[in-house]
This record gives sequence, C-alpha cells and structure tokens, in this order.
Amino acid sequence: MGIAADGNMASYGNNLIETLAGHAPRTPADFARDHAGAFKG
Amino acid sequence: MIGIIGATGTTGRGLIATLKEKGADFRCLVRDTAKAAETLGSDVELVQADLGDAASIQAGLQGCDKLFLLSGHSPVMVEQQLNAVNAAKAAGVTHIVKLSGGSFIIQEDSPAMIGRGHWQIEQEIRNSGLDWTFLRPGFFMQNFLNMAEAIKGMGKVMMPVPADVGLGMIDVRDTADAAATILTSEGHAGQVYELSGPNITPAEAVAAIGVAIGKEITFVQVPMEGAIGAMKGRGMPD
Repeated sequence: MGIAADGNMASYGNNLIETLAGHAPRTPADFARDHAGAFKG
Repeated sequence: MIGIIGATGTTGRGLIATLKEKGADFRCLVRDTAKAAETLGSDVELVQADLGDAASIQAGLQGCDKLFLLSGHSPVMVEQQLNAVNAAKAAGVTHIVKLSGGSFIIQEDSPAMIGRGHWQIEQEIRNSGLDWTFLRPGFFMQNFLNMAEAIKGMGKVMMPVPADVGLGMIDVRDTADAAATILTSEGHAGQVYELSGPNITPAEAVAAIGVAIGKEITFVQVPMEGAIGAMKGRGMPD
C-alpha cells in the first residue's frame, strides 16, 4: 500500500494486465470468492 | 534460463505456477531447498542461495540470462537486492526484471523507507549496464488477508483511507501472470510497467468480501498513526 506525499492514496487504472497477462484483471469479487475461506470463522 | 529470487512468497508462487504452465526454463534461488520443494513442487529446479551471500547468488545464477528479483520488505532489502544485482552481472545475466513498489511511493525522498529503498535499487539497476524492466504494482488485494482476523472477529476492515477513494487494486496473481509474460518474451527492456486492476474503492472491495462470505463487513477509516502502529505490530519496517 502506498500513500502519496499529500496524504492521498494514489489511484490509477490501466489495461496493462490485459496486454501482458492475456486476460482481464481479477476483480475484488474474484479475489473475495477465491479467498473466502480465509475470511470465515 | 530464468533465475528467480523470491519464488516462495505470495507473488513468487503465482509466478512459478504460470511459468510451469508456459513450460519455461527456470531455476529458483532459495534459502531452504527442502522447504521450497514442499511449497513449489518437486518438479522445480532449486538451488540454495542466501541474499546476504553474493557468492551463493552468483553461483546459483550461472547459466541464467534473465533474473526475476523480489525480496521481502525489511531493513536489509537494499543491501540484499544490490547483492543480487552485482551477483547477476558477475554471473552473466543480461536482463533483470524487478518487482518494485507503486510509483507513488518510489521516490528519492519518499517518507517511507521502503519507497526510498526501491528507488535506490532501481537507480543501481539502471546504472548497471544490464537490461531492466520494473514492475510497479498498485494496492495488493491480498493485503486484505492481513485483516482477516478483524473481519472474522469484528466484521470490520480498518484502513487509513476514505471509503470512497478509488485505488488501483491488483490481485498478485495478475502481477505474477504479467511477470511471467515479460520473462518469457522480448521487447520489455527499459520499461516501467505500472500494474493495476480496475479502479476500486475500499468500500467496494470490502463489500465484495462481505458478499463472498455472506456477512456484512463494515469499513472504518482510521488515523494514519493507528495504521502505522498496526503495521509495525505485524513486523513491517518504516
């Protein structure tokens, strides 16, 4: 996690993952579904 | 042959899985080969090396033309990675792919030690005469795993940012997939790749976790000082 000098979280989006990885970027829903076990208890 | 430093971490494991799928020729330099074999599989070529011991890195990189460089954030990160850079050059490596930090933190005068460290390492690699590629990922979705106990116990996520600020979040598996492509194809020398997924707010990400586990999760913005204390409590350096 990085915090810019002015205190705001830097934010950006790009399509490099699609270009380099050959698939759409995973979404938070993908992440949450794949790691749901870690958050249950 | 690709030399891999940092194979057993979260991103490294994803990278190894993708390199296996691609049928790439690679070798992992690890501290503990037996432990690494358990993590990465017995079909992965492993060689013992210690980032504090440049000679062991140089020996491990013999015959490699590319190096993927990743090490944990620690007070000795700069020393260790510069050991690797010098050893790579001595071993005949021609191209270093470094997983760095986000662009917003990599500055000579960054308030974060980690940001200054990555900046210094990048400068040394740029001046090494070797080809280089720097990967600068955004906020790792896997950071939420560090908050799993608070989610399970209190149903809360606490972060020092507003709930509605957009973050360039990325799943480390996507970082790994991108790195695997860069390591197995040409045309990436001299490139700084800022990697991020969709622009997502913390509130949206936390809501997605809640949906996945069928429980409402509350996002709480906390003061920076409290967040720094919590991160230090987990052993993170300044």
